[in-house]
Amino acid sequence: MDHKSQTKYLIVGGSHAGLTALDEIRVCDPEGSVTLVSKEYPPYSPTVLPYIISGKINERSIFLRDDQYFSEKKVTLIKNHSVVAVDTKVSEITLDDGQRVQYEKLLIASGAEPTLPPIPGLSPSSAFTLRTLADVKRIFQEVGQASSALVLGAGLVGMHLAECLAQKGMKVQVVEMLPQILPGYFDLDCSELIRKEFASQGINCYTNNSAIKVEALDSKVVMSLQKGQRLEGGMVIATTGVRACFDFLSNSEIRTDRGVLVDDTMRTSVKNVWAAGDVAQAKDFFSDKKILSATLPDAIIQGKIAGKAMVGTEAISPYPGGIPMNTFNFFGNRAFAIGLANPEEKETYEIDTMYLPTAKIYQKMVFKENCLVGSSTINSLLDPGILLNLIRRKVDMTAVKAEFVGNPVQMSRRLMWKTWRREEQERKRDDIG
Amino acid sequence: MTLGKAYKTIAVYPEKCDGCGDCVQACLESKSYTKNPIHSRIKPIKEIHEEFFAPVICLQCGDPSCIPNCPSGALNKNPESGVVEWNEEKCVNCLLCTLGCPYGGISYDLIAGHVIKCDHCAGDPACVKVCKPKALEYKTVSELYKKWGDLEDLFVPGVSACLGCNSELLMRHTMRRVGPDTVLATPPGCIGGVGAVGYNGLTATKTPVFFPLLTNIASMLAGARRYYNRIGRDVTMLALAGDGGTADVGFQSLSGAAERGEEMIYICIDNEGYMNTGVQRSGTTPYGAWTSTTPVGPALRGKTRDNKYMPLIMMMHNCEYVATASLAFLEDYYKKLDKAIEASRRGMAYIHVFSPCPTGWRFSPSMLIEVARKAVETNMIPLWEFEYKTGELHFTYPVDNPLPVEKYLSLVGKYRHLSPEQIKHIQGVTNQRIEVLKKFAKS
Repeated sequence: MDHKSQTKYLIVGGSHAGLTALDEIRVCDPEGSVTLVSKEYPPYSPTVLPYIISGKINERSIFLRDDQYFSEKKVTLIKNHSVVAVDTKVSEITLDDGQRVQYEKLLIASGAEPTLPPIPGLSPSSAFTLRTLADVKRIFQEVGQASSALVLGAGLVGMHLAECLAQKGMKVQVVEMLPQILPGYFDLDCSELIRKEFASQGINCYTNNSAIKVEALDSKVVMSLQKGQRLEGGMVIATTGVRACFDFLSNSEIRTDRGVLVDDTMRTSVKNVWAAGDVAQAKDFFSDKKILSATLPDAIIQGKIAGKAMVGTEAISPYPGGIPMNTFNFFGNRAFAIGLANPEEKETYEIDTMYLPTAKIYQKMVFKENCLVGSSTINSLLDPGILLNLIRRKVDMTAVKAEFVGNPVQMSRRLMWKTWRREEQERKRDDIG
Repeated sequence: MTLGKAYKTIAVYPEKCDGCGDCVQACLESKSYTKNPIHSRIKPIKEIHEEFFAPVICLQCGDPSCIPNCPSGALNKNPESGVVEWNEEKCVNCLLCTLGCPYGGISYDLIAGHVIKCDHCAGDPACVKVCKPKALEYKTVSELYKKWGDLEDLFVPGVSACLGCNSELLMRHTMRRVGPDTVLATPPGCIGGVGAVGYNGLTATKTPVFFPLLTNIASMLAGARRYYNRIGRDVTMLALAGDGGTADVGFQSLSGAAERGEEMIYICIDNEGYMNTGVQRSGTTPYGAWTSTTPVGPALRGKTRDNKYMPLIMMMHNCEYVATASLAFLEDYYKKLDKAIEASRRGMAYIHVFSPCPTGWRFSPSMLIEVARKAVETNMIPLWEFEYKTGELHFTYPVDNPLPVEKYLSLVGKYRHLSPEQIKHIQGVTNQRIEVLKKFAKS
């Protein structure tokens, strides 16, 4: 097929970043033509997939938008196709069926895909991954037969999945190469407490230990670990990480590193091309580096900025920089980690930790130069969104730090009121009759 | 033309909150049937060193940041009520919404095992009803527009007012409130000039309107009202007149009508000069202001005399009701119109509206409301009302810490040339006027 079409805005990828950008474009430009290319349709979030396996949510009710939404927004949809090439010189993309689309402005929100570590015997045929609905269906078929599972990689997806499989009655074991579970978000103390809770639910996590071989034996899979253990399971699911999807840019002039490099308005090195979400490599909040942030909240923030920037509105607040953040609900406990909960060079930070073992409450606050820069907690009553804003707005805590550490729930709410909440209320006071 | 939709909201006034916690108890009774405050959707700040109480509650944001953070579509803003609704069936308990909200409006209930948030109790919030100090109020954002937006605009669209005209805003709002059963008098001036009284035999108003001379506005209205009284019809008499027709040329007939207690609403649209004839000075042009007859050059530096303060002059006529207004405070103006309508059945109601003029005063039309606001916040234009039946003057928007007058003067081109001495003089006049008014307010 050598069909060619034209559009003002072209969005590649229909998950959080792409959809948020689409909404934002339509706020500012109700009429300009928009085309959205999505491999998956209707759109859904990879975040919900473990919950389909546990049965918490039905796979039919996970979709974020429907046909009616796209027709109301006047969007031309190209479903179930992927982009194979981008020619930035003539502003044109080519799809897997040869179809070409010419754009005025392009957003790359193609997301990320799971990777398999180079372990002998580990291949797409011997191990499952979890990123798409098709993956869920494959896992479901196997779950019906297997009574046990091995999860490789103790990140958020792996740990969620471990709990979900255990709730299906399976025996689950988790293997992690790094010294702790949930690396990158939680600090060691916090992750140890979480690991204990998993152990008490029958899920063992082998940390500081990597798989060296995976082999099929009868109807089972045997995983040999570096430290000598041999784990057996009905299936192996690898959740060791993802990589940004931008192979289709290889012959373009768009600069890439581990992701697509973007500036503070999500613009790439090519003037009429932007990138947002898991594929974008953008400013870090805490350093000068450009990082892959790969969290859902960041995909939203980036998608909003990209949408505004593509329309060309002046009212853009530049990207504040990626802050690692996540919430983690496990066996009825609530944990979250925001910012530098586990900083390197600990001596340059002021760290306050509180642990109440019987109530299973843990709370850690990390300060630098009188500003909060990180926090991790289990079962506290803290409002994560307020803490995130205290970090992002660099609220000066010199005068209140001691009281904040002693009573962070109330003090963070007070700081919220006294800074951004009151400010916004005063701005709106004339609207409120 | 109507003015669109507005949602109800729980407005929080932290300065009124005394931290009693009744809202928490009401929320628990309404939502959880337990006494454990962990289940409450509203959470007052307490137990801190400083005495500061302010409830933390979902704001039902217009552009909520919890909703896009939800990976399963479990949060939605109800287009009818504006409430951000949580759907338990779709929620996967990932808690990313709690990271999205900067206000602590959605939180995890550890015992219930899911997030909880305010849902306005289906339009009848329990917390608001029990709040004794009125720190919580259930009201509509832009209550005014909701209340009066559905009433008919009694002026045709497309009058020929200048861009950003305060008088057009004023006449549309005033007529909307006063209603169709009205006879309007608009003398020569901007309101007549923009077409209110005539387009080739048609008028721009949807009520009877007449065009008196500058000198007989109040006396013509008095005659019309007396005639309607005689035939037994209750019709509102309304004057929309400029400061020239009120304070200068038309003053004797207004003074006479006020003294006789003629039944009408007389609204003075004070744009501090004769704007439609080429920006000449009037009796209400303030000291230092540039006009075409008080020019700025080597010798003269704008007007050399202070303005006369009409509202107090009218108060001393024992009018039934006297008030000042600025359209930056529309709700205040509507409340005063309510009282004026009522008072105009007993005698004269006089409202003196501060009316900045982008064309004649030399400022950008986009700054109109800001100019109208700053005049009040500097105490140049104090907002007050006087009711004869109680004999009391009171400030409707008391400004305890007024901004220096420069904050207002610097916005307006007609004051661009002022010297520090002139600004000092204006500050002195402003301070003195407030002191005089305060003495009336105390007695």
